Amino acid sequence: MVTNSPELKELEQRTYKATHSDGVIDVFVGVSMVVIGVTWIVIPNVLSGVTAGVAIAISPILAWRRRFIEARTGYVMFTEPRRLWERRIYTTAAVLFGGFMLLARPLGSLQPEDIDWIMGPDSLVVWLVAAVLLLLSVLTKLTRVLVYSLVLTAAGAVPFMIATEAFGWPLLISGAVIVAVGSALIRRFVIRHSQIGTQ
Amino acid sequence: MNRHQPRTKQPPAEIDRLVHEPARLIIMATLYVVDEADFVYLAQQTGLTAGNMNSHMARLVDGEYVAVEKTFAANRPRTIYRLTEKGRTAIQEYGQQVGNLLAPIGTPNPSNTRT
Repeated sequence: MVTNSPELKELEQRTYKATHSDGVIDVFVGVSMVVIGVTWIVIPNVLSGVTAGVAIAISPILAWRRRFIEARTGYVMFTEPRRLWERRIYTTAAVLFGGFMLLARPLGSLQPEDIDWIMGPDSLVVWLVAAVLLLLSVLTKLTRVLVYSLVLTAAGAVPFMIATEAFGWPLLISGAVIVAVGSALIRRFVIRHSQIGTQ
Repeated sequence: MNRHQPRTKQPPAEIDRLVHEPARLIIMATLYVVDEADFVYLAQQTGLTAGNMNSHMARLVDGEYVAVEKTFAANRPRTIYRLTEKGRTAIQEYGQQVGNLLAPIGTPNPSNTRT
């Protein structure tokens, strides 16, 4: 992608991965899913507003994450092809999230008997998020995102297993798992880069 | 010719010693795969102490292989390094020279490396 030898390409991938193994985005995504899940269970009427609030929070969180990482790992600017690739990933995620928002409302208004072949409209919404994560795991080659997708897929069946109509549970459960993984990554990242400073 | 001396297209003396030193080689290789990086980032990637980094960076800057820019970020000084065109060419040529030097040895046979 960036260089002309496999060793240098591997070095570039390693340095890129080292700068992106902090877990901040994982915790943000996990907390967002927990918040949306709890809202879905407790006050579903304000679900759209809460989801929009999460979308608005993305930009300041990314800016804070950049400062958090640079204070520990130092500043680096990757090459133009790598930055282009990164922009494509963010654009894809934004488009998928927008598509999910557009689909969620009509899907949520479907009657369970209309699509009972996949357990119901709410589980379909959860599995759409799982599909988005699956696609992102392929694009980013991050194994943990694939695990998140599988956890969400499995959690989509939980409301049927415990016979509840509160469909926020899959998001709540998956979000808690993602927060736990993200917190462990942040802890490891902070320990590994405990020397803060610039020169 | 001494039978222990490998046949090479380029004699070892022509290898760029400014690049050849392991710590500087890692610094230059890291700067080769990114656009620019600061002192802290390079020190973390290479595992060098601040003193060692300073001395190696000074030599690379003196040799005009690396350009340096001193700025401030959040009211703290930040030293940013990037590879110059001369440095980029130097590491590419170094790769070729080492490749030529090691070519007669060939790729190691995995069965011979087992202990």
